Amino acid sequence: MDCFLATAGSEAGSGLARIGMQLALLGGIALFLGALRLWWADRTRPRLFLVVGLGLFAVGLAAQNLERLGLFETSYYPGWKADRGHDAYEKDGDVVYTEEDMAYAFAEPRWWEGTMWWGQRFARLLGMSIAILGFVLDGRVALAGRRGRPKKKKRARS
Amino acid sequence: MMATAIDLTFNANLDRVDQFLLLALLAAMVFAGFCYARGRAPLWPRIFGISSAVALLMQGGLMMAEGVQEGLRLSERETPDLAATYETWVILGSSASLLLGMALLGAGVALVYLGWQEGKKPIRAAKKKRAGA
Repeated sequence: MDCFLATAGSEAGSGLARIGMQLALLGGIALFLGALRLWWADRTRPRLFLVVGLGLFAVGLAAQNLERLGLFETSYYPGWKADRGHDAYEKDGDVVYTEEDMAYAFAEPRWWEGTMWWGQRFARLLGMSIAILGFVLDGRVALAGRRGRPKKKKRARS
Repeated sequence: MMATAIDLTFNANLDRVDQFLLLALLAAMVFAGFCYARGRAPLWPRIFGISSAVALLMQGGLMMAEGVQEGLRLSERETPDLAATYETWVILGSSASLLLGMALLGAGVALVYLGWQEGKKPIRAAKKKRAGA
């Protein structure tokens, strides 16, 4: 749900996108609670898939949106170690950097950032896959339950 | 070496898979909402289905817009050749994000009420009676 357009510095745009992220975060939690309530009512396998899938999805979505909302900052990304040795000033010799720019050093990621980066993506991807299966199976069960209802017997004509 | 318009790095591909899976999840939610509400008058299954459909449309629109923006990178344009300013596109994109969040929340709340309504039906009690008999 990355709103690519809201990065241009428009305050109204970024405000709307932030509210959208907050609502989506709450929506993910509500979906998990709804699936839990459904499973509690009737403990079938499709509903168990829903609980597990939407739970993982809610965790991954919460981590992603809390990061985007600025609750915490991370500097980890796959391949950061390779970039650590890259000296931009040497490679881009035509670019003139100010003293303030040169004062910045590469900030190594903290010990938990890698786990957070991979964990939230893994949780979202796995959770969404399981939830898709759960919704499709539970929907088919609901349809089959309606088709299986016995029809009312018509009165015999005299 | 010519720069390509499409970002094919691992991060970008992972984000694309993420977006497509979300689209598939929303489509599955629309299907489930249709199945729950079919032939019945209850309100909450319909709200769940409609909210999921709105979220699906918004997510599809945002993905299309991202695709258009990637395609425009090579042409060094910021926006398509339409009578709308850059700020208009920014507001449209942000509004779509807001609607997507609202629709997800609506679907979540509807699913909670759906579960509550299912819980009021004596399915477990009936199963226990049959097991005991």
